[in-house]
Amino acid sequence: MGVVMSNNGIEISSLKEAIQGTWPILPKERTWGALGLTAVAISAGVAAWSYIIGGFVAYYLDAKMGTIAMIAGSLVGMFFVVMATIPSSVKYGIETITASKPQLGTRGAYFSIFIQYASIAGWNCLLLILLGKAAGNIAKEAGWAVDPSSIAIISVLGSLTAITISWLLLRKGAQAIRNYSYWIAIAVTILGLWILYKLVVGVGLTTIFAAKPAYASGDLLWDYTAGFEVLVASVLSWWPYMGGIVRMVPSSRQAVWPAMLCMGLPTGIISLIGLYSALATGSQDPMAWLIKFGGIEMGIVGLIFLGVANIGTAVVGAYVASIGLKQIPVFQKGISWNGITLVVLVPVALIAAFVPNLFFDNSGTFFAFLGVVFAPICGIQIADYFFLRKQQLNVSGLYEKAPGSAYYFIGGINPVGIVALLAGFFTYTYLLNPVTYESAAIFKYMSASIPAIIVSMIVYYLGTKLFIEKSSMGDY
Amino acid sequence: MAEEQLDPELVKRIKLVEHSDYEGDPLTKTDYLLLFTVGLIIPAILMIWGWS
Repeated sequence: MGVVMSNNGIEISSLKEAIQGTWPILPKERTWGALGLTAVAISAGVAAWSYIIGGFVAYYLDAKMGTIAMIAGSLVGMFFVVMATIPSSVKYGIETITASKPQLGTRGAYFSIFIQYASIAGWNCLLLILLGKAAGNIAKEAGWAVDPSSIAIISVLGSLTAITISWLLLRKGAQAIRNYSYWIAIAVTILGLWILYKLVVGVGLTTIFAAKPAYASGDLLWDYTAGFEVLVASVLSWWPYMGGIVRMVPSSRQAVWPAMLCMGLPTGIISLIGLYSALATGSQDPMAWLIKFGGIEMGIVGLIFLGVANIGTAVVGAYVASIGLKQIPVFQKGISWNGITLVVLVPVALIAAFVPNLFFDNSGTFFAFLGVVFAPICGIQIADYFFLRKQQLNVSGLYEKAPGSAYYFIGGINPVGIVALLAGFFTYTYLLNPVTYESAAIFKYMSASIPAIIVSMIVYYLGTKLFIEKSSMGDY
Repeated sequence: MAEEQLDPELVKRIKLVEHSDYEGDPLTKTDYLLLFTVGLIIPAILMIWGWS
């Protein structure tokens, strides 16, 4: 029937199922390489949500301590994400959801699908609504739109245009994502550094570093830890993105450094724009001062940066979310890649079109609690893969769902995994309320994400040793 | 029993991936040392320096 065989004896048609689905990708089929993954990582890692992160840190810290706390936090957060995701995904060519089945169970992994989809859809809403709002602001400043309803319409159209572009880029698949990521990476790096340069030159380093935070708590150690924690928690949110992209390179070393230095670290660096903008001008959004310093022309350049950066991130997120959805039986057969990508992006379009302000007003709470989940999930994955399974997984078990299969546990759920997640979740919320930022006394000495990771690791390890290993469950 | 339900091409892939020749290259001890340095030690040094 004209089936083409690779030299492994695997049908080439199954390669498509692997790359656009959840099947393992063999090393020879992974075509991105370190440079390709670097480009994708920069494309994803540079996004305008970092302005908001930097602006938040500016409430508590000045430029010097804020810079250090944010760079340190971005590296530490990415360290845990890398340890939790890269070794297993690269070894076996599996994506994020599949890699979570040994810890959560065959059905428990639906929780991973939920947090992946919700997190990425939520972040994409934020990115693309921000982009639309920026377009509306430019139109207002340029005098192209005057009344609020016109500005709102332009904002919505801007968001919908960005979502459409994202879908068109996404439908070409993994190879296309890698190819255009080279251009996006170059563009966002140049533009991002240009904006930082313009801020430093326009406002002055002296002004930036002399500015005081507006809402410092009075306890400098608390402020310092809070600034660090904001970046750790933010960077942990890269967890859902990792497996789907790092499995496209053949070695872990080719995955680790792009992840650490091109996804994690840029979150901290681009956040500096928000930090310095907020400290020096009162607003974390550089669009306002770009227009003030350089007129509409500079504002448009800023908008281009915003567009390229945010669409790049949105596409990578939508790509991994689409793969994650393939875990759900209804999406495995009979729905095309284009169809699944629509499932990921249409809700974003509906929110951007009909309730953008409602989303914005309530997104802080949503993101705060979502971010709390990623710390414990990293903890249990590290404990399971390194300390319990000694870096060996039952690959058949990752795809079997029947009772008695390797990762079925009890009714498809690993009870120890769930208990460990809850232990990490409550550890975090005890140390720091992610909504109100009220904290326990010891928070300032230890942060919240790191103890949550450690507690979930310990609970998972002990629970598995005491209960699971003694049974026949879990393939230990 | 469960394996029989899997797509034959998936079964082929799984059999290959379970062999070390078809697995992605792992991190070496030096890689882990560098990762710990960049991910934990350097940030700790930065935070201490920033506090002083």
